[in-house]
This record gives sequence, structure tokens and C-alpha cells, in this order.
Amino acid sequence: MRYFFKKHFSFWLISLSLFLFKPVVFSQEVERKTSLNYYGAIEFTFNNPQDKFNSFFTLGEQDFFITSRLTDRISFLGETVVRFDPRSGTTFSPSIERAQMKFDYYKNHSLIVGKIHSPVNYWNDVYHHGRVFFPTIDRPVAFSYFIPLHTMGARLMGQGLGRLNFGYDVVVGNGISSTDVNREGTDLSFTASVHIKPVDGMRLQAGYYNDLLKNNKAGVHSGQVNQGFNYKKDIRYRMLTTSVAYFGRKLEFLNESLYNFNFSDSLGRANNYSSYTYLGFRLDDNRVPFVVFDITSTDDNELHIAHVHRTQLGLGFRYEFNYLLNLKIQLMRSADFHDHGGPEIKEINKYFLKLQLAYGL
Amino acid sequence: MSALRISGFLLFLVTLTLPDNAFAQNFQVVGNQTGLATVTRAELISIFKPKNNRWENNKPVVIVLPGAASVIRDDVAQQIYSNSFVAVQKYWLSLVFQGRFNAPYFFNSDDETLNFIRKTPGSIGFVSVSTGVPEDLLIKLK
Repeated sequence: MRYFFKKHFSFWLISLSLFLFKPVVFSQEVERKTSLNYYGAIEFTFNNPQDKFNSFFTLGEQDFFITSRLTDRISFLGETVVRFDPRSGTTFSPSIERAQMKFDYYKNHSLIVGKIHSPVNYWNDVYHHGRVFFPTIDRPVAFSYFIPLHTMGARLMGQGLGRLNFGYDVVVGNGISSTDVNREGTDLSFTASVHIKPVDGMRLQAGYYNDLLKNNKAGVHSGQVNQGFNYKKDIRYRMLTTSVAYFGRKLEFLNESLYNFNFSDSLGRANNYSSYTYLGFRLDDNRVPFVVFDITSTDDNELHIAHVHRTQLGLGFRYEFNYLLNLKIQLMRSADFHDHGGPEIKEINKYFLKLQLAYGL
Repeated sequence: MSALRISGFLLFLVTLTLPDNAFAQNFQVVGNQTGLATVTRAELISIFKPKNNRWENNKPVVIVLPGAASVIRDDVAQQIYSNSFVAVQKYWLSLVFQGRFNAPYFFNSDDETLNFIRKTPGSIGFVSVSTGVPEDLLIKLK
């Protein structure tokens, strides 16, 4: 008997594979459904950096969003954004933000491959580039410094498990220092997060991110563009995150906190922190006044992320015409500002006023 | 205590004893190859929130909801989602945008809903209580 199976091992292995993956190979045809949506924003800003007053309009990101159900188990999601880019001849350039294929292989468990938003915290997993979904005008400051926005890789996802609606995400991918087509070395980035939804509208999440930044490079997947440091050796980049989100009929609350700790041979460990809190009060279907508090701080021996010690406090109001159109206004006070994407600047930006019309089609 | 007050109190007690399916007087639940002959209100809410991608019989869960012009859209929104129809649209748009669930189908008439459900295994939706529903598509509320 043993000889029989050994001799025909290939046959049994292939047969077993077909049996186990029968749902994949023989998945059921469903009526194809492809949806195309468009999201965008138009803004007006009044600010006074360095005691000069500015007022200007901004055309925000224009987001093309497509989903398609290919079979009863396989679906595609794509998100391409066109945004202002002064380096481009037309001053606008496209960017593929998400292009992912999702395979529901077993009940509430899925495998996703492609370019995804790193599910490292609630905001990055839920809001992406659709400003109409944002509770406030801008993302938390941490997105300009710490959050690995995208990953090109593979993701295991589970959701709605058990009484507490437990969910998990495990991602391996190219990482911060990479591109969407290749990377140097064999160290893949690793993301893991878990969450529960104990009551309607609530999500409690904890996340972890680990990446090796080859030659201290900040690639296309992170908010950091130009750190301004000359350190060119590898840096081990780790981050712990927590997210507490509750969006109910009257009360809206979101706290995004993170602890980022990076290791370099030269200066050892750098400890960086950020915490963002949003609190909104829904008066009715249309009106939501809110407050925002955001604090971000880097260690003095940080060699990858641009140094920042920034505190923002703001008051805002959101008017929702319907679920695809809203107007937000925010009055913010910011202190110890560091310019993202340019040389380090220390300035006190006392107040700025922003309006945003966010829409979806 | 007056007779009026006693009557009102008794009526109040009666309402407390009404079964859960009393909430669904304006709509019926319909489905195709869901594996469900009956469903409770709590189960219905869990299905449409949504919790699961697949039924116990391994068919995909295909959500069908009343559209903007449907006469039962507000009843379904309130009874299932405890919210307005606009809030339900926003809720689903957000789930689809996250990439976590496939988009539901919205239909404005009972005929469209029944036609779709009849040809789509795993689909589940709602029609008016006054609409005649074939026995093989009706899921009874308990």
C-alpha cells in the first residue's frame, strides 16, 4: 500500500489539491457587476505662516474608484488618484493607489493580492483617498510622517468572526523603501492588526508594522518624502498602533495613536509618538460640529523621519447635504510647524481656516 | 383608577408581548438558496449589517435592498439598520470603499427585486407585505 501511494505520489498530490481548491477552480458564475465612482474635493484656505497672510483655492485629489465582481468568490478593487504635482508638465499626475484582487476562499476569510492600503490603523483602512468619507478636512498629521500608506503585497483578512465580530489582517509586502515593481533584498515588510466590533458603529483596533528601510530610503509608500538626513545605512522601522472608533447616531469619536521606534547603528533607538483625537456631535442627519486635537513628536536621534514637534487644536463643522456631498469648515491652531516634503522649517503657524467641499459621483 | 387608564395600561402590556415579527408588517423577506426557511429579527439584522460572506450552504450572500424610489425603503432602513435610508446608503458605500464587502443591489420595485432574487442564488431582500411571493422564495419571520 505504501509503495502504491509512493509510486503515484504526484497523482495523489494533484488530486488532493483539486479537492481542497475545488471552490477556486470550480467557483460559481455570478452576474458580473462593475461599478465606477468618482470622488474629489475643492478647498479654500486662509493662513498666516511666518506672519504673512495667504488665501487660496485648491483642487484636491480626484479619485477614480472601480469595483467589479468577477466570480462569486473573486472581486477586484482599483483606486487611481490624480493630484497636483509641480514636477509634472501639466502640474497634475496620476497615481495608482489601490489595485487589488480579493479571493474569498473560506466563509469570512479572504486573500487579497496587489497594491493595498496598509491596514495598520483605522483611518488608513477605512477612508483611503475619499475625502467625502473623512470626518475632518485633513488626515491626521501622522500620515505625513509615520504611516506606511500603501503596501504592494499579499494580505490575509478575516472579519465578523464570533460574537465580538473579531477581525484580523496580516500583510507581507514590498515595504516603505520599495517601489510597486521591485525591491532590494529579501526583507519584506510585515503588518498585522486585529480588531473587534463589540457594538454597532464601534471598532477597537491594534496594529503592528515592521520594515527594514534599505539605505534609509523613503519610497513611494510612505508619507515621508524628504527627511533631509545624510544617514544612508539600513534602519529597522517598527510601529505599534491603536485605534478607537465609534460612529453612532449622536456621538462620533476617533482616536488614532501610534508609537514608532526605529533602530540605526549610529544613534540606536529613536522613539516617536503621535496621537489624534476627533470628537463630533451629530445634531441631525446633516449637521456635525466637531473638535480635533493632534500631537506628533519625534525623537532628537531620529534618522529617517523629518523632525517634528507639532500640536494642532481645531474646531470644525460638517454639513452633509447627502451621503455623497458634504461641506466642512475648520479653524485650526498649529504650533511648532515642520514643513513636510521640504527642508526643515521651524515656524509658528498661529491659525488657519479651511473650507472643503467633498463630493462623490 | 379610571377605566380609561386601566385600558391604556392593559394595551401597553399587550404591546410588550407582541412577537418580534410584528415589526415587519410593512415588508416580507425573500431569498433564493439561502438555506433559510425562517429567520428572526436578530438574524436578519446580522445578515444585512453584514456579518458573513457566505451562507451555511456555501452560497455567496448577495444583499438586495430597496432603492430610493421604493415604498418600503424607510421601513427597512429603520427596522434593520435603525437609521435613515441616506445613512444606509452611506454605510454601504463606506464598506464597499474599504474593500471589505461587495456592493448590495438596490431595486425600486418589488418586481425587479423578485426577478433578481429568482435568478441569483444566495440573494436575500425585501418586498412589500402586499406583494404575492412564491412559496419557494418566502422566508418567514419568527
